[in-house]
Amino acid sequence: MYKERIAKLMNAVKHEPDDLEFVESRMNTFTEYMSHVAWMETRIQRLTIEGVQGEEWRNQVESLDKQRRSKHNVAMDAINQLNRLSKVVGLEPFYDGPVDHEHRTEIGDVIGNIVNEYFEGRTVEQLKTENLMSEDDFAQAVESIPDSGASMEK
Amino acid sequence: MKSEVRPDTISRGFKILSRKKNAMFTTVKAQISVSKRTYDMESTVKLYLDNDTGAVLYPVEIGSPVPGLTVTLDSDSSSSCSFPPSIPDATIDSTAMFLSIFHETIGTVRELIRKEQQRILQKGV
Repeated sequence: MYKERIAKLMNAVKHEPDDLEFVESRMNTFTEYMSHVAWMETRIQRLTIEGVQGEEWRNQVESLDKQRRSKHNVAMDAINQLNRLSKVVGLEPFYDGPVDHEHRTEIGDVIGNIVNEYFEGRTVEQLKTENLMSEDDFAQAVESIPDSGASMEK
Repeated sequence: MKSEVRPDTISRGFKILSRKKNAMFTTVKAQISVSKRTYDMESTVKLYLDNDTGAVLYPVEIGSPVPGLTVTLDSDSSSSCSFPPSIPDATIDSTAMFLSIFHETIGTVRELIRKEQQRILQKGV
């Protein structure tokens, strides 16, 4: 659902490189947040295993949590920004639920769903050279291999 | 022996490279320059500013002259720094220099943001 909405949004602004970059950079805030949450949870596991307690534990976790909150805020802002841009170009909102501090937990779940949707839909096949090059460039590359007898049928 | 402490002169500024408005926000690309007594450094920044309120649409990325080293402003009061996976000998000095002017670079970006906000709110774009 989210991936499809982003595709529509990108398609609507495809003639404006700045707008495309804007959309991509807002999407990246979601992976930043998820990455930080996973890192923080792992660090807490480690601190627990190491027996870190009391003030030292609080100091370390407080610092991680401050960064997490900051990244959560950025990601929430990004959802609002994507919603606004979608509206401006005449599309449905990227996310149609409430995006405010009273719904932080729900928004956290939504961010997880967005990232997971992209992960689930990832390209599982190993990308081959011919998938990464234009047909002409690939043909030229094949031709340039010396004495290989390689050729490419068009 | 009494040593003489020379004040470290710092000059800083920005140059607008482009400014473009769409229906929702204005994109401003700028070059940030910070000069200390012994060296000059330039970085680039791209801002998205809300056309209605002049508010910055965070995050704001500041590209450093060191490949892979970027600074991100997450809000009015928070920033983070990403490093490349390794820092080769050739870029150690420039990395250290960039970090030593971190405060000035962020300050200049904040100044740029303030001026662009004023521009949007007072004159329109």
